[in-house]
Amino acid sequence: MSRNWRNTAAIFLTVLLGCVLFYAGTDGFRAFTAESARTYKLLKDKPKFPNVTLEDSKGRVYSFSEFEGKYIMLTFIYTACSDVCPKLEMNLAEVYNKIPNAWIGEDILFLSISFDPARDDVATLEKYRKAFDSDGETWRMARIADQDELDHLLEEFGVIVIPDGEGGFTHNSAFYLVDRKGYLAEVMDFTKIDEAANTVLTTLKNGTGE
Amino acid sequence: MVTAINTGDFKSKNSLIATYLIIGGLVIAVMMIFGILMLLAQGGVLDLPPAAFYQFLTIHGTGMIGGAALAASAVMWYFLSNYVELSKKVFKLNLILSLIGVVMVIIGVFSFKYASAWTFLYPLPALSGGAWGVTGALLYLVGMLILGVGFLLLYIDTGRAIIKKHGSLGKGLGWDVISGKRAEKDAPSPTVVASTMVTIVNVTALTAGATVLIMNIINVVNPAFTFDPLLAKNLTYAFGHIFANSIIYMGVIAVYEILPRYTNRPWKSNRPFLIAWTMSTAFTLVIYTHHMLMDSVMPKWMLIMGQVLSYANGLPVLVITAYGALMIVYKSGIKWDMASGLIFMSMFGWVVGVVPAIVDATIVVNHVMHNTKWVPGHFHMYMGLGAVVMIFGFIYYLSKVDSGLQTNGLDKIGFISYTLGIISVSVGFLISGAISTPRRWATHFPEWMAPAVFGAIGGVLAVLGLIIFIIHFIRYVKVRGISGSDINEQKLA
Amino acid sequence: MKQTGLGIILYGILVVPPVKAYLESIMLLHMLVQLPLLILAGWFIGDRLIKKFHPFFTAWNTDGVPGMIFVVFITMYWMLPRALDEAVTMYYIELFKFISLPLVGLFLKDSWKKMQTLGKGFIFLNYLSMFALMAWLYIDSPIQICNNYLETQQKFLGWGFLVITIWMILYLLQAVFTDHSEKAE
Repeated sequence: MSRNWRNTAAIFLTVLLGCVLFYAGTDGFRAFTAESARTYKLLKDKPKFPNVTLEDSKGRVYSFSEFEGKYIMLTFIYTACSDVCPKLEMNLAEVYNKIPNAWIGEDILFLSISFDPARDDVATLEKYRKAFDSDGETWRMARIADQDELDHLLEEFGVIVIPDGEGGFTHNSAFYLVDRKGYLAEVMDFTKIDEAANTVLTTLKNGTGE
Repeated sequence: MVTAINTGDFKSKNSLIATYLIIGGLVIAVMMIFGILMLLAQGGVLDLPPAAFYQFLTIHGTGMIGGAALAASAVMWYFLSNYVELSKKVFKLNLILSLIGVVMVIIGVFSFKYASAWTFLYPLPALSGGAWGVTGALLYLVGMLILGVGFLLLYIDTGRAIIKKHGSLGKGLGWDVISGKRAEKDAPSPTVVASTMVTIVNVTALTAGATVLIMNIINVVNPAFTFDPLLAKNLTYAFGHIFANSIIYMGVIAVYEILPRYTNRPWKSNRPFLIAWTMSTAFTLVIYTHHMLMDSVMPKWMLIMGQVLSYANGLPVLVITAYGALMIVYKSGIKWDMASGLIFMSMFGWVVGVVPAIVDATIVVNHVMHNTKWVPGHFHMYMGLGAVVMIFGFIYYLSKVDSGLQTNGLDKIGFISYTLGIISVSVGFLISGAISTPRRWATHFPEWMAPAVFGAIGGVLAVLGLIIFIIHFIRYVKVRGISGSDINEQKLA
Repeated sequence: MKQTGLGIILYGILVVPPVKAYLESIMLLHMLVQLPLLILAGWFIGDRLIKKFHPFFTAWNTDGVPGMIFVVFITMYWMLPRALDEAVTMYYIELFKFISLPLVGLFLKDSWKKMQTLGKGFIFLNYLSMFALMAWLYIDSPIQICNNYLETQQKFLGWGFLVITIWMILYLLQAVFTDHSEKAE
């Protein structure tokens, strides 16, 4: 069995091609799942929060641009959710409690956005708000009534929502931090409360010390 | 008659074998020094930071298993190639891959502070509490994977060769002789039987190992992917225990081949011999569960099986081999020299080393003993006095038949020094275990220190002995082809 | 030549939008039916191509190793959870799937017969441990790995991989323990 140079060259070529494929396919060995790829892309792109119209648990209607000048800590939920959302909100409450009062309301607001506007009306949101002991002011629960606006936001922030056919949704979850100008600043693992709180605190320190 | 081409073949075969053995021997010697340093630190003599201790622990375990397996595979290859047609290319490739793997492991441990012990138990590689980073863990895990790939290729080749010659692995174990379809006189030779067993258990072990290594790599790279830790532990020990265990089954080939040459009596595979090896093949595959006796979540039947079969694991082969060795030597007028002496001593070490293991494999005892130094006591005796002594015996055998190099008084001193050394190390460990000294602890209470220091002194004796063995072997490599006969193995008896 | 026709028909069926959409709607069918069938289509079509371009394959894939490396890399890529997800959402990844996998089949056919027992055995054991790992990952994962597929589907796929792994082990056992003696002695 003779080995010619073409065969050897082909070996090197295929190995090289394979490595390139893997490098490109995983964003340089960083992202092996679509979810991590999404987070990685988000952090690279830093999309601007679209100017949607919100309706909160107190029945107030306003556009997102009213929050300009403040950091916004975001989650995406639906109130009928029985598995991941309560966990997500409980963890958000813990992060909320770790932020010094001086900054709350002044420099940062917390916002939980429902992607199930049909069911999550004002009354439902109000009930949900009480369940998590949020004040409705510095931590608001809101829905986006306009489906097109909602879809656009979910698309921009890479939130994937699949109806599971039984009235629920399968969706990815994370903490999102939007900066004072309305651009996405951080995407954080919602299961790591301390880590997330530290990131928020550092951002606030740097952002207020200017 | 031997042709010129054959001469060249022999020369390059033996030089490859010699390279394996020298690397294996040197690795073992260096690892012994790390062992001594650890015992000195535990004994309070040496001030070693705990982080360094765990790095030493990691490299000591990895290196000992790797070095001994490398050398033992050379023993197996040397003799097996007389019966079946093995690929020298694969044998060389294994050496190269092993060296690459070893270098990666060393860099990972010493430059990047990787210290999970050689068992790399999930999820430790990814969760070091800041002791080491992703790079260290990856270097170690990928290094182990490359080592594993080398050995896997080697065993695929031995399996292929055995199947080609004997028809199937079952026939390699002599099942048709056991069932009576074939006469005992046509049974495969003991070397083939042992090699078949090693091929079966190690292909299994290395495949399980590859799975668990890649799993750890995935977990290190992407901690969001988690796995069931209990299954991980099962696979890790299925890999680690079997692979470590196989060293003695490769080494024992030296016993089967060398003693007959010294006594001029053939070592034939008979039916009890074949049954014993088949039993040990099956047991070796399943008894790793004795590492899990403290995992209360394991199914009870598996643990009980682990206990019962552990008693039986090595015993069939051990008994048949020890008995065979005694019978072949009995009234044979054997000439005792370094090779035959070491080979005979290894049988003693094997027998004695198994006793503490059997004690530990008892569930009730295990709960108390398994995390004490009792267990290192067992495997230092078993490996140090059994498995690797077979390899040293082979080293002296090879240098004798291939060069006619004479041994001298120094070698005898080495023999005595090494033997006493390892006995002291093992006894030191066993005493520590008996007074409930925990294993894998960087620092000891004062009342635990004395046996550790005793063991360290024993370790120094053993290293001195080993250095003498290695010097002898290096002398052999230098005079190879100059003195003595290179091609025709000398008649020994 | 019959094989080539069969391959083209198979490929044609797989491209039909409803078939494609259905196979991709269920994770198990996507990974363990659609992908292997694409490889199979390539294998069938390859029969003719390999004969036609015989000199090319002999020159560049003499011992089968380059082709096998290609096969390993592409199939490993398609084992990434991300690839499966992106094939559903991004058209160019989908396109890549329908091109790369038939090529895998083609090279597999050319390489497998050229490779020696050692290489074949190694490749076989490699896939054995990779499939076992995939089974483990998908059955055991507490999180949803793919955004387009639910966790239950993920588990289902894991069991599928486990079945394949067990089947491979059984195949291996019979291969090494049945008699391969070249001649009756």
